Amino acid sequence: MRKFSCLIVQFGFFFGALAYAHLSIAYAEITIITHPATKNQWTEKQVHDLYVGTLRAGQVRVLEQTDSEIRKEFYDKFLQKSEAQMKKIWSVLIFSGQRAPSLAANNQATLDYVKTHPDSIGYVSSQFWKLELTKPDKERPVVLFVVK
Amino acid sequence: MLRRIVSLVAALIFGMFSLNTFAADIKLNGFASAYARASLTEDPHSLWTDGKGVNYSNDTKIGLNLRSDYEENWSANAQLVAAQKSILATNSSPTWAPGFDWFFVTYDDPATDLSINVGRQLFPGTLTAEYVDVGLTYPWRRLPEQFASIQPFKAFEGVSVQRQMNLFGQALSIRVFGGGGRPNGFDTVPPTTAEIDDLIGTRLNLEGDGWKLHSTYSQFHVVQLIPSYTATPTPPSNSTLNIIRIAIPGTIRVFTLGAHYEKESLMIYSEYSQSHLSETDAIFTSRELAKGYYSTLGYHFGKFLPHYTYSYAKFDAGHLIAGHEKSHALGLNYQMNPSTVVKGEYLIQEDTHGALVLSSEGTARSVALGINLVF
Repeated sequence: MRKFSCLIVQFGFFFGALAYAHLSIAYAEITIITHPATKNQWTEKQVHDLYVGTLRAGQVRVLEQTDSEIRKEFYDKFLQKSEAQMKKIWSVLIFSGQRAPSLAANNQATLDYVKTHPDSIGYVSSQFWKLELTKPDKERPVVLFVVK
Repeated sequence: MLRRIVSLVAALIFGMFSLNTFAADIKLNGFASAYARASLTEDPHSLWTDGKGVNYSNDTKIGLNLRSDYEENWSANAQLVAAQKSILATNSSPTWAPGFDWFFVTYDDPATDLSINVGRQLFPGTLTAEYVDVGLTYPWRRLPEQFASIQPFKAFEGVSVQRQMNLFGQALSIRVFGGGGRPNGFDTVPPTTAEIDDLIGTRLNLEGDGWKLHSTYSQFHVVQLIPSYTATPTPPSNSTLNIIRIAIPGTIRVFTLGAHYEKESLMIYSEYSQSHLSETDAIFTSRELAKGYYSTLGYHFGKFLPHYTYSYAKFDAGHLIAGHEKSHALGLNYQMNPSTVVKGEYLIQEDTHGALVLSSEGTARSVALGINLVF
């Protein structure tokens, strides 16, 4: 009986680790979203250039998440920049009066902001987005592309 | 008169935006620098000798940036900076004077893709001019002083119009500006002032991911005010400050060309600038006032960035400080975190000047250690 209990615990740890790995892999994908009114305006390169500061945004609101986990993923996978490089890029834009990013605390805050601000672009984890798709929402933002 | 109207309009609009959007979308960001610098030599003939002891105030400053986005096409921007206003003041009497470095209103026209700024703006004379107070954005303690002194002023009041376009997949931006006013000029005690009139200029930037080409051309008229102290004969002895007005005839033209490359681990900055004075009575006569350049080479080793900068400037025989200057700077930066960088510097400055007011020839060595951060 004791051996059986140990076996159950070990299997539990094993499957738990598998489940965590699955969640981690899903979280590593990032979905770029925008307000439905602006869906057709932005290509992948344009979004990249908006975030690295080489494309003038006009009044486009570019969102940054203060959640460091997903922000690092976004910088690393899509922008291919370090946090220090992005901090320098944003500092140049902010302190020369060009523009400043709007900040969202997490995936939900990003979603709420993009829904209510036309010409806004943000990023959320694909895992979060998949959960959102299961909910009825007529004003849901649209997907520009997914970063894997 | 026009400049005053421009400033008043910008101030009114900025105030209106601030009131209307106070509870809404106002973004606050800040920056700070703190440095300690010590001279290693006391060559009395050098222009660059700071004297004995450690100077804590020359490069120490704090700034606050405010931005309000109003409706779809309007925004208001302002930057407040507190820094020592004199490079000649001693540690015992730094003249800290917080004030608005710049403030302007921006209108973005989606139909024409033009961006229009009205108000007080930083003069875009160099690669880093528009964010010159934010040390985190560039590798040096400050832009090489020999090169920086060629730039005529820091800010102006007026209008600028910018358009960005796509050129073979890279971003080309053209900015035309004009105005005048009382710019933040060279830091002295008390500050020299100059009235800038009829400023017009253009700035071209071509940039991609990790690189940037920059060029600026501007021309203007100037009346310069220079302080002069006269000691009074009766005790207690005091100095009476007199202002000498020197109207510089002709048109001053300034041209700058620069490049920045920073990709993978390699970092390169390089700029060239020259200024000319055209006499009004001989349109095609142009006298060179100053010219200079600098080059910086650096390489990222993880969080460390060692770099070397050579700078040279030559000032015309008619210039107040005629002669030439050069410097060698060895720097080592350490990125503590994305918002904070620690910088160390060993600097050798050599100058040879002789004419008019100042005459000097010497070498100065100094070390500096400081920190730059944004918040």
